[in-house]
Amino acid sequence: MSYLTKQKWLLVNSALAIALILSLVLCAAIGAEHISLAQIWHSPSLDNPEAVIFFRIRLPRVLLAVIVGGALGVAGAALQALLHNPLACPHLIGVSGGASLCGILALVSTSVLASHTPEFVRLSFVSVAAFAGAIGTTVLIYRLALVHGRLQPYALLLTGVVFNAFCSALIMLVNSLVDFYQSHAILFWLMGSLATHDYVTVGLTSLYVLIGVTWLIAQGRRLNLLSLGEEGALQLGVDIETLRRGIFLAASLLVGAIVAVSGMIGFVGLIVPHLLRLVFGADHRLLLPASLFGGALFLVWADTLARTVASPSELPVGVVTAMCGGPFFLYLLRKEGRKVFVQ
Amino acid sequence: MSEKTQPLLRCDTVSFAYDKIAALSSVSVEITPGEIFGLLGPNGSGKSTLLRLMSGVTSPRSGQILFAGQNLQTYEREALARQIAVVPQESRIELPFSVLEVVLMGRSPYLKRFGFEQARDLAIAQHAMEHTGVSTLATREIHELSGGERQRVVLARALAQEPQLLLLDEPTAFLDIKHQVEVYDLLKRLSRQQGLTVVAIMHDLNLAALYCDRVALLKSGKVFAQGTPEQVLTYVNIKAVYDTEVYIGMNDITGKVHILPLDEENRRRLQREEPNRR
Repeated sequence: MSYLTKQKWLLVNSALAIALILSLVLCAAIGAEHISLAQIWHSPSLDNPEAVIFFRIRLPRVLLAVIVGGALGVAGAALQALLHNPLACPHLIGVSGGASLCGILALVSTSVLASHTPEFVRLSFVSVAAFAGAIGTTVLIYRLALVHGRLQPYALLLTGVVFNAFCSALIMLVNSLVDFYQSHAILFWLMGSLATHDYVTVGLTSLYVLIGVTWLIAQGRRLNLLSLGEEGALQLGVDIETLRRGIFLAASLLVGAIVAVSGMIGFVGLIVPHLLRLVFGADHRLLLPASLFGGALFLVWADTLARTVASPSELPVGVVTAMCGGPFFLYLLRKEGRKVFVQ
Repeated sequence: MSEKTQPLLRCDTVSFAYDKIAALSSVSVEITPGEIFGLLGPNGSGKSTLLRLMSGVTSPRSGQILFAGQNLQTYEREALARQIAVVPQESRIELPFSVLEVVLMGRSPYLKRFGFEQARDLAIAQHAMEHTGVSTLATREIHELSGGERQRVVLARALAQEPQLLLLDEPTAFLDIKHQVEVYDLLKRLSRQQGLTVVAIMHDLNLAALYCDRVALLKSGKVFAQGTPEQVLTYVNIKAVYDTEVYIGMNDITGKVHILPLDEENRRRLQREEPNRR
């Protein structure tokens, strides 16, 4: 079928949703400590230590992986359409650089000022700072990428890349000024992690993500028309300026909320939409929801791998996504690159 | 009767400038329903600017453009996309869409927010593809096509919009002679049978003479002459606008004027022998 039908849409999305739900339960059961799903089914109360591991430790982490992965997938797909660049990813628009910088500054200052404060207070302070950094950066990048009052994709791309490089340099500066333990914490943040989060964080993050993702998915048809170029989209009835602003703001909201809780997890937003486009076609009405499920699936399994492969110690999930994503992406580039670069 | 004579599109003393460089000054053109109207003129004479203004993507600095008697700028974008379709000179489509998907994009202004194309939309798209001879390419990816094939896909997309007015910017620039006449034959059929109104920028004066009901000859952002091809495409007008000598004759088969360029040697000889040639 060379075009998107309602049947295909329903089929693909429900298949992906079922795969995600199965993965969710399965991955929460897998871990360093062996637990039995049957046991938990029989006594789901918190008197059962296996149920405690399942509900209190693993399930929030797996749920966070779903939210973060899904949001990265959708943001990636939308930004690839906005920037007219199939190689764009959520970390390219500069927002994650600003969020990381603020998060790391908060990380360093809390450990300097009050090393005896409880862990969860420190963590939530870091998240709030990172989110504030993301919002600030969004506004800054948006202002810088306006040319004659219009949001220009190429200006946005360049501004984002340069701003990210600038933030990286500042992060390195901070890193070189702090002691070994803080430096280690910074490194862990930069590599991305889904560990140590409670249901409150998961709930709050999912709220932001839900708003951004819903709005972006609703723009599917208009995102298709963006590929015709500015005038082409206008002539088919798209208010292109409003659409561009909306995509940028929604993607920034997503990236900000994600970086605040999980640091820099790369490659999800880059390879998931790219791979799904090859399999299911370029229509964003399907690509966006499929990227939500696909990104979630990818990150849930990557994080399970990160937890278990070197058990009892743990790898940063960003390392796992990069190690899976990097070579795979290079392969895609060799195979499909001609289509992307030669036009 | 009065409805028949009312122009579909009316440009009333329209001016436009890019930054401070004037592109159009006080252009007035009326497009009658069902006609094929050619916009002619040398490079930089303002043809493309006029076409962009007619499509409603930019608004004139002064003057106004009326579509079906109503100011173009007051239309809602999607409503306008159901009335006016545009075929640009060259189309780049960046993502790997199939040919059918690109043509179906023409149905977008008719869909609901979360809507999918219905059987009717598919039938219209397929019909449009048959018209432009790209049905066999339906499942191919748009990247894989040649420039000429892609142009015919984009024309099919524009037809799928079921517009009243079709605006084309040199639609056959990349096509060979067979496909050039096929495109114009199709436009002529659509205008005669279905009342489609066509405004096309054309570089080929012979094709303009052959297919256009009326033409406007632009020079430096102004309308130099407008009327039937026979009235406008005269030796004097062409010399004044294009600044070159041409041979103008009559085609025995079509009964239309035809215009041939002359080389330097013959241009010199003509100026020597017949300095006041008309």
